[in-house]
Amino acid sequence: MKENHEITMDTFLAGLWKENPVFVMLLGMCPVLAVTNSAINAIAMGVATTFVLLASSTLVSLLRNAIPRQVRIASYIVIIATFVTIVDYLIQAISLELYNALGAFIQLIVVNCMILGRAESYASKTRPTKAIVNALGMGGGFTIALLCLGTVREILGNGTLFGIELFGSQFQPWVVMVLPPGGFFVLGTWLLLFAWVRQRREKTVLQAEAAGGN
Amino acid sequence: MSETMQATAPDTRSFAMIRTLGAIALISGLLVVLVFEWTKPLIEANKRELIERAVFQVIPGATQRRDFLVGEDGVKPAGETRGNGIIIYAAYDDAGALKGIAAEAAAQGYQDVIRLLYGYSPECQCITGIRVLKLSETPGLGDKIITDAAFVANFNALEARLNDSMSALANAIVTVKHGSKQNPWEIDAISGATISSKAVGKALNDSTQRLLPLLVPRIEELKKTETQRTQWDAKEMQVNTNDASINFTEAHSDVAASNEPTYIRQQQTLCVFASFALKDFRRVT
Repeated sequence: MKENHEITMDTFLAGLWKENPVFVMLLGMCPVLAVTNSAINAIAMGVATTFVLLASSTLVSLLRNAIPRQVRIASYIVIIATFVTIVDYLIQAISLELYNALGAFIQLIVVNCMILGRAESYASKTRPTKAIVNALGMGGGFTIALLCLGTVREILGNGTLFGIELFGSQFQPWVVMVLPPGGFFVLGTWLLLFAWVRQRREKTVLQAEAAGGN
Repeated sequence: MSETMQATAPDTRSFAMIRTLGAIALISGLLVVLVFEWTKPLIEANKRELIERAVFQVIPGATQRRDFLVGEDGVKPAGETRGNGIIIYAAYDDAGALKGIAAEAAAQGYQDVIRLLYGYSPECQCITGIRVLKLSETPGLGDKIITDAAFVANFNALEARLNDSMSALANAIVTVKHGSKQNPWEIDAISGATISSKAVGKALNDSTQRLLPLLVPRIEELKKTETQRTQWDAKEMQVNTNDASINFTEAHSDVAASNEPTYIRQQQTLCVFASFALKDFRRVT
């Protein structure tokens, strides 16, 4: 297997836009829908996932020549589980209120298919530095996506942003937005927006003369 | 893809696999243990702080607290006895006078168990405040039990008086329909969050029915031990036989508790606290 070690801007940017784990690859939907009922939860989840992704990608990449193919999945799972446990302790040490708000979803990072997917399809085939850059991009893309959902849901469903009151007392919160259905509504809207923007871009690149994006 | 890889390297030796997995497990174990040891004191400090803040919030005017274990056989300082019992947090003001007692209560809510801490004042025989410790009720509806000012006002002075034989509450704490509260032992429910409101009432009723008959007859011990302890702190070295004969066992345990390194006591408190929470959880579910 030939390894392409060249680190380009694309290595980092892929995760943010072209291969955004949430809006393009639709990976790791469980935490995306579950913990984005407030912006602060979304950021915490995004940072925790990024940390696990970064650390496990680094280790998998370092050990890529030592892990026999037959036991690679088992090895990846053990490595990912280790860093999830570490994140679990760290969040408890930082704030118990945050830990309670995120609930079981911290532990569930271990089965986030985005992380396993990165380990299998990227980190196991490339140098640590490149894997780190890519993991940072992917984690960043994941965090931004969560934040996109979290801010919209918190503003509409609670009338606040990062706990700060935005509207007067007349504002009637749109409670459904912080409930599970709101997660699907907001995710669907963002997906629509992303798909539309992407489509328009492709059309511009192809210099098609279509009028408007339908 | 894995098929082609296996085709090119058909016989990876079993030993190589075992070695790799063993090494990875070893690294993982080491990392987890390191982080666990490093964060353990921080997590415990967080838990202590969370309870401390909650205790001082439900008991107005309190500035210091001590933990006790209330069981069939009396009230003991928590930490040095590991027996069964209900853990309570006795809160005192600056002068060392007992301001109230905080204890935990739990009941099944709409989605999951609601755990809360409530303050009880022996002076007015009433509940002086509640604070929700864990809640996973529907946002916007069930979590009004924290945010709804009218509902929270129920607990400024919720009557929890024992009957004459001190075996149970004179009037059980009940949650009534929104707007129909008439007696001081009733909780006015939130309309739209009836199940969560009822859970709070049930949690408080269950906990007070169990705790107060054990605690109230011995409430003097909570005040007494505080004054005794200050006395003994002064003459800790020379044990006075007269003093000791009054209540030797208690004197002994109390001095031992004050000498013990605080972190051991706190760890034990947490253990007891955790087992209590677990038991409570099982009972409720």
